[in-house]
Amino acid sequence: MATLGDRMRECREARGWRLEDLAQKAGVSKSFLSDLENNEQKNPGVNYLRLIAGALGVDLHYLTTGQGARVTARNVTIPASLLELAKDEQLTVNQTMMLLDARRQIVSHRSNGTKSDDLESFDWRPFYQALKPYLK
Amino acid sequence: MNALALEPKVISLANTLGVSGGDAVTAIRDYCIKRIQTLTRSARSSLRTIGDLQRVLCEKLNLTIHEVWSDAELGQIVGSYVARGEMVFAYLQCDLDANTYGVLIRLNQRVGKQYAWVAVVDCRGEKRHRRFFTAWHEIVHCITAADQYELPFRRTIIGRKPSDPLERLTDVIAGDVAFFDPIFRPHLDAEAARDANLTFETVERIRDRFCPEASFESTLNACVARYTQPALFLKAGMILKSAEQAALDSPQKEFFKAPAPRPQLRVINTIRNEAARKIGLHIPPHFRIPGSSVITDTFRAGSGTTTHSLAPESLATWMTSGGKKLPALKVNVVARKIGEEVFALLSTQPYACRT
Repeated sequence: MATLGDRMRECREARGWRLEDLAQKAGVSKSFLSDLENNEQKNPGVNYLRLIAGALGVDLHYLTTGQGARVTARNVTIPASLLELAKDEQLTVNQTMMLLDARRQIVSHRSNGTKSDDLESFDWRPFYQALKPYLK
Repeated sequence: MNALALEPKVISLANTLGVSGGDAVTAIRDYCIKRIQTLTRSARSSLRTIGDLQRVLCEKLNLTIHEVWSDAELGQIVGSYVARGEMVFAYLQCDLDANTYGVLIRLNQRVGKQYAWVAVVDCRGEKRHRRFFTAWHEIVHCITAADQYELPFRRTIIGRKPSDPLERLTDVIAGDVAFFDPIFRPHLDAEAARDANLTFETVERIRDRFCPEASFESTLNACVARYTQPALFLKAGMILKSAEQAALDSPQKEFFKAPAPRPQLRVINTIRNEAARKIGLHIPPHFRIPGSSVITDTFRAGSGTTTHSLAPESLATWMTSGGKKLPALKVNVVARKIGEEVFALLSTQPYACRT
């Protein structure tokens, strides 16, 4: 079964990049990337993976799980408030992305003016509590 | 062109939908109407009521609208979607709080290449009165969002504040398409011709014929907007002058405590049609209602009672505290007290002025 490292290498080579190229574009060290590709880095932080996925132009969810669309034309931006929650609750990258994707499914609210739908100021904790039983 | 058309988010949406140029609000509204016409083309002959239109549109947009009338019903909806792998529904009980009337959710499951959508309209308690408009608000969102969602990099048009111009725009368009002209206008023309004028009774009959689920106020707005003669709908209540309200809301406090301003019977908001615009029939919000107006008489009729009055009057008697007058237009006024507010219909009439 393909690993995170396998997918990273595949995406990098598809672009004809060397490790140095990716390191420069993502702003991380070459040795760190090498460790990741060789599956020697077991617990990479979500912030680093986000940088790498952004540089490769692939979906973070795909990079970490191998599921979903591979190449995207968008940059995945994880709101700082969600990152904070992920850190507090020690969520995996996959769980964090599941929360973000689920929240993005809510397209609009019709309210009387007291609710903010802005992802940065969104109160992620009750959202997480409600979805917690279903997070893999 | 109104201020909403100049909002960057509205202009951006027009660009996204490929209808940029000119008035963005009109362009987006026209886009929605055209899209509705395209989507319902094959079913046109069977579209007799607004319910028919809603049903066909929902089918074409892969949109399911659930009206929720009880906590138990909400629980069932949540359970059913969560069981299908749509875990975002687990948040719905928390999301549909006292201030939220409806939510539009994009499902993970697609129908062919298209997304499927679910709108949950909260009809519990007093929210039931807004269910018709809330459903159409979500339909309009779905019409404009569906195209954007086909482009992954435009997926983030979801974060918006309640005062967000896109929400206001959606309300404007929903107010238009919920009273879809080819279905609504025949009712308006027939009933208005019967009364030779637009009255509250006319509006009530139109609502009964067109869609009893629509609120009286939204039907009234739609009637005024489409009426061919100059007409203005005005809502009045006991409120402060805009400057007084701003001072009260300001964090900046006076060194010497001034006496609290007293609310007076003023205009809360108005809606006028194109014909009214052409003759200059316009009353700004917060304008003080003169004591001589039938609107004041109606307001004094007693709390909780509904009265119906009729009198011609000149707007020249409407004056600000600074002495500024409205143009001397002669208008026929029909006023009705609803709760602690007065709804008034102003239209031009040929008979003599009272003053």
